[in-house]
Amino acid sequence: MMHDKGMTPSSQTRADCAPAVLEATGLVKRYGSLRALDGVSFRVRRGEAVGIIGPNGAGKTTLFGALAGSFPVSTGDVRFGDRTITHESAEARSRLGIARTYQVPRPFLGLTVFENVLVAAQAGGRNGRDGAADLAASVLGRTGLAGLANTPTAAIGLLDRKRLEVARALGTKPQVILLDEIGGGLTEGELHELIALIDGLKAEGMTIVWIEHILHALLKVIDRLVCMAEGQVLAEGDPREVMENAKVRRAYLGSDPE
Amino acid sequence: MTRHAIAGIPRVDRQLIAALLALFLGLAALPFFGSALIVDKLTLLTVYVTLAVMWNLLAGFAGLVSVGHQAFIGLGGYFALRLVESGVSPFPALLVGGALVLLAAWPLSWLVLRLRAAEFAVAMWVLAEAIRSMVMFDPLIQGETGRSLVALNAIDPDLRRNTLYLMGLATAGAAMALSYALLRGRLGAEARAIRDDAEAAASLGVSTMRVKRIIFLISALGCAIAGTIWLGSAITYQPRTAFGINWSVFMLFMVLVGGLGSYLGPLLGALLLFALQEIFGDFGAWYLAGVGVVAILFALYAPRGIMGLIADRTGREPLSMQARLTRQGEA
Repeated sequence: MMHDKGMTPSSQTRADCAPAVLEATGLVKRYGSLRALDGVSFRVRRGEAVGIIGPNGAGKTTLFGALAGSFPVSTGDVRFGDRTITHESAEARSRLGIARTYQVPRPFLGLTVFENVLVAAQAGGRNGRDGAADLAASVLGRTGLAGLANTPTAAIGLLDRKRLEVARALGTKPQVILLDEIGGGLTEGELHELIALIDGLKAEGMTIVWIEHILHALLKVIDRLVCMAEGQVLAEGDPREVMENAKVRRAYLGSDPE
Repeated sequence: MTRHAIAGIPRVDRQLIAALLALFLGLAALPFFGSALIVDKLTLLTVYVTLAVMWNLLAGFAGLVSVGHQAFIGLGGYFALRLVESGVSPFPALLVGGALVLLAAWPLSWLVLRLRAAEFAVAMWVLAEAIRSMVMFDPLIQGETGRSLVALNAIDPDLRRNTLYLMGLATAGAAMALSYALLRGRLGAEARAIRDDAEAAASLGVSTMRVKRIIFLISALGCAIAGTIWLGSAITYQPRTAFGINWSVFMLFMVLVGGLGSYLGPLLGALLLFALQEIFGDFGAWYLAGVGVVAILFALYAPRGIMGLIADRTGREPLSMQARLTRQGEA
């Protein structure tokens, strides 16, 4: 096992003393002989923002699927607050307060942008019809989609579809949001808006887990960084220390440090 | 913060609904002035409308493409026949027999709704055939021979014809009203979300099985009652006809030509199928060729059906189920 437990953060973050809101222990996910997750333990504290990096195929998105209940894991446990949710459905986990976005957006193409978020606000956010419309409208405003509310989703482009992923997740009024590469393809200006949005969510007390290849964006927001490779956690802790870790540089950046 | 809300029903749509209601009331008065032939023919039309609305609810809105809903058409007829044999008077037996289908559809829903799209379609067909075989084992049915609803023959023909017609009309009206109410509400948006991406819908907290089950059961009930009303006017119950794949072909035709996933599409599709049968019916098997040609032409040149053509021309689908966001106070 390649776990590097020595990489604890040297700088104390403010979320350090809060209890873990979402915690996975010894997660294994096998696909035939492939181990997409090979004994991953992961925890995030309430109000914390954690970044996840790693090369393609490291198991980052699989970890999100396991946390959000998209598929059953082979072994391991997932806890949310003080309850075990390993065998809870994705629907139940959404209603508990875990929201995920998809790396490749999966909008409901036959619905309008507003309806996409409305579904989330009614089902996951457990709102009545009017409350849901209000919540959906405010979420669309925050994600820059207000002008597209009544547009058919099939007619919007990739970037707006990525925004819609975030909007839909926020529509469920989550406590924890799992963001999967939502920054790819954005211009600097758009990236700035995205960082401001995520900072705002963090300031409201939302717990954030963000998979992202755009490191400078990630580093502006996160308290802690996890690097995964080949289905395992390679290193975790203070973002800068993780980035300087030799194993991380080999696996992720493909080069040895000078 | 500005209050936002879901827009009410647009004026055009309200006028359309009023027109449909007026048409419904006019049709309800038909037995007082229409000829026996017309009443008979329109009974068949109401059966078609119900079947098309149900299949569209299932396939167009929830993405559950079934080629086996004749299972419920045939089973409803069988239950009605059994009830009549055990002494229930025929008209209530038609409705109760249809409703009893829910007892079969509910446990089946646990099984088939776990399947993926193509598996579901095939499984429904297999189920329809399996249920037909079981029904044919009943000594009352005697295999291929079938059985007649003789009790209906004892009723005055005019009374029988008019009652069946009004039952058919009420069923079609109820099917349209119920599906409108459901689709305009939360269930409709959730069903469409499941149709487009069930996993993503589940990740947002949508109870995908519950939504699919509700729609599956409604469609089973609607098809069953349409089936018993059809049996009432045909009188003879033959398993091969009652469970025939023809029913699925008709439902598919009506919904695809009318406009899959549009509210009014099935109504137009039912009218078109009915008209084709009227026009080409005298040419025997030729009408089937006509139906086939129309279906192919639509598949090639108007894949979104008649409602798609209308929406393209007017820029908006009449009686669209879309929930529009407005600020409070706006029209």
